[in-house]
Amino acid sequence: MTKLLEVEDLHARIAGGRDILKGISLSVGAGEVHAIMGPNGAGKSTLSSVLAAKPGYEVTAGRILYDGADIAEMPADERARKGVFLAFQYPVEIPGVNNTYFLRASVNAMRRERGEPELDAAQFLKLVKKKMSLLDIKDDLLKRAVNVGFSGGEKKRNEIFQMAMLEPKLAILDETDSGLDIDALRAVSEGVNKLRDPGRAIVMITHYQRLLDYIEPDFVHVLAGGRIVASGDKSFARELEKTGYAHLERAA
Amino acid sequence: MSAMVQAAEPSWLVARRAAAKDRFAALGLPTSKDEAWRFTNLRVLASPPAGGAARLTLNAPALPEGVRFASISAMLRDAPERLEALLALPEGADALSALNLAMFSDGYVLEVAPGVRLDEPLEVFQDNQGGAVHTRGLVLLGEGASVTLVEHATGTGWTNSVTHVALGGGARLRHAKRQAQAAESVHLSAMTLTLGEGADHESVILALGAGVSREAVTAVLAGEGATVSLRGAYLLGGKQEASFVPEVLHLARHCSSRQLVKGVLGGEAHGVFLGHIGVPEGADGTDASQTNRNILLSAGARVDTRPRLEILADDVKCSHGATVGDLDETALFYLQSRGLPPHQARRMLIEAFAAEIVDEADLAEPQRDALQRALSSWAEALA
Repeated sequence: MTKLLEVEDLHARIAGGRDILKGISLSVGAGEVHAIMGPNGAGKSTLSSVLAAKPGYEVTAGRILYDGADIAEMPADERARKGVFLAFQYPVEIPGVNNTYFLRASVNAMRRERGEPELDAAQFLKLVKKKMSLLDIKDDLLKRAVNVGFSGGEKKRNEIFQMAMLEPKLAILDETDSGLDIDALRAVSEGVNKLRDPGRAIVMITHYQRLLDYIEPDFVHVLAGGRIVASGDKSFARELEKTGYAHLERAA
Repeated sequence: MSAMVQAAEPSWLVARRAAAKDRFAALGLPTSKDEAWRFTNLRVLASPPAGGAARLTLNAPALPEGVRFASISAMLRDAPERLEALLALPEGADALSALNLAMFSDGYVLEVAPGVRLDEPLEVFQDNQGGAVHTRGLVLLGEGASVTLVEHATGTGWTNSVTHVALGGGARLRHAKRQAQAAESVHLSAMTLTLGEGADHESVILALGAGVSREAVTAVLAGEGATVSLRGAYLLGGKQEASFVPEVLHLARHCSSRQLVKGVLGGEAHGVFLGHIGVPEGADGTDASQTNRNILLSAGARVDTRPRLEILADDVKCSHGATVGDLDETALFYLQSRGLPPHQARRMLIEAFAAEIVDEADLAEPQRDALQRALSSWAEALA
């Protein structure tokens, strides 16, 4: 059976530049949590950008199969409506756009895609309350403009809250731990753990080991020089903790 | 059908129209050498159509004692003496203002006695039925009076609107205007305000329609402690052109003024901002700001923006700035990564950018909502 996400020999670059991803293959099944680790410049953010269809990046070879279909040419909004979610490393501040208004538009875009009726304000609020209690989010975040004036921790928490609201099939967490103190990291990780689900795949991209202490992955991959140079199960993470990945990087 | 017969105008008006016509002839239409018009498409001025008709509707709640809100035609019939005292060509009036007095067909007068405060807004609907229409507005607020005036300009043709406002000490005027004329039409508007001691004025002007439009607002802060806020937005597509020409003269001490105009332009649209703040010697304690921000949605759209300060006083706080940019690509991607189609994402950002003009306006909920809806539907069309 094909997995939810099958990346096959993926080459990609910033438009007009040289390939940054040089043949990535990755297979992620529903219910699995994968961690992709690697040093700066390995291609981690390029991988998350390409998976989420960020403009300015182009796939030069290989395939991205999602749910059995090649989505390499599919625009970001369509991917999102099909269940691909990217938690941003740097969530974007959007002055003038109210967080609740934005989120309702987003939830309803998903529902239209699935042929479900849109939620009215009251129904939406009910859903918000349910998810807020799950993630321990303060509702004043929802009254403000999207990410404007949020602390680093609030921004990341808001990303996970959006994930809870949108219920993606594939969630890509791009450096979700970066810039967080221990308390914020714990809160964000607890949120992610609550969203683990047999029907949902999670790919965490991170520079630091410590995230794996809070969100235990099923599989760990090391990305270096645009390729995955080593993979293993969760015991591999503990091994890496001792040895580091510098020697793997050199092997690449 | 006696109403169809145009009563002869009083002789004072005939004389003033003739004098205004002479003045217009002496001044001639603005040319590209006039600083205030140099960026404007002047071809539309060269050929105003002959004749024209407009539908003017005044909408008001039951008016208390001390408020007069009437069309000029009704006042000519009912209170010509009062009108004779009010209707004059001010010194230094420009050519279009002179042409307006020479040719005007109708307009309105709003007079509020000292101390009278109205909560319900007064509304003026000016629907141009085609041809050249010259319309006049006169607003006089006595000391401590307070009122909200909402203008709607719609229709086709060539509109030349001139409004004079005088606010007594401590008077407060809230003015909102929605210009949504048809695509091929012309809308030229000039509003002059004089503010007495402690008077407080705010205008919120949305230039949405018309092929060529111009909103000139000149505020003279004549009394100490007066405050004025001029807010405007132009949302333009196709070959539309809109100019905002806000001018504030700080003649008295301790006055404050804000100018904030935002533009969103697609297609081959053209926006013009010519702001001016004048602070002569002695106007100490002045606090003034002037800001023009623009977003260009297409390569063919353009903006000419010229914020201008002339400051001769010493103790002055002044700031000004102008920006021209694109829609934020990162924000667009963020919205789309949450499933919003590109069109909806663009609309959301356009609306958010322009909405500041309305959101932070000092208007009651229903008036603000109405302006927001107007902005929304134009943002939708531009996205």
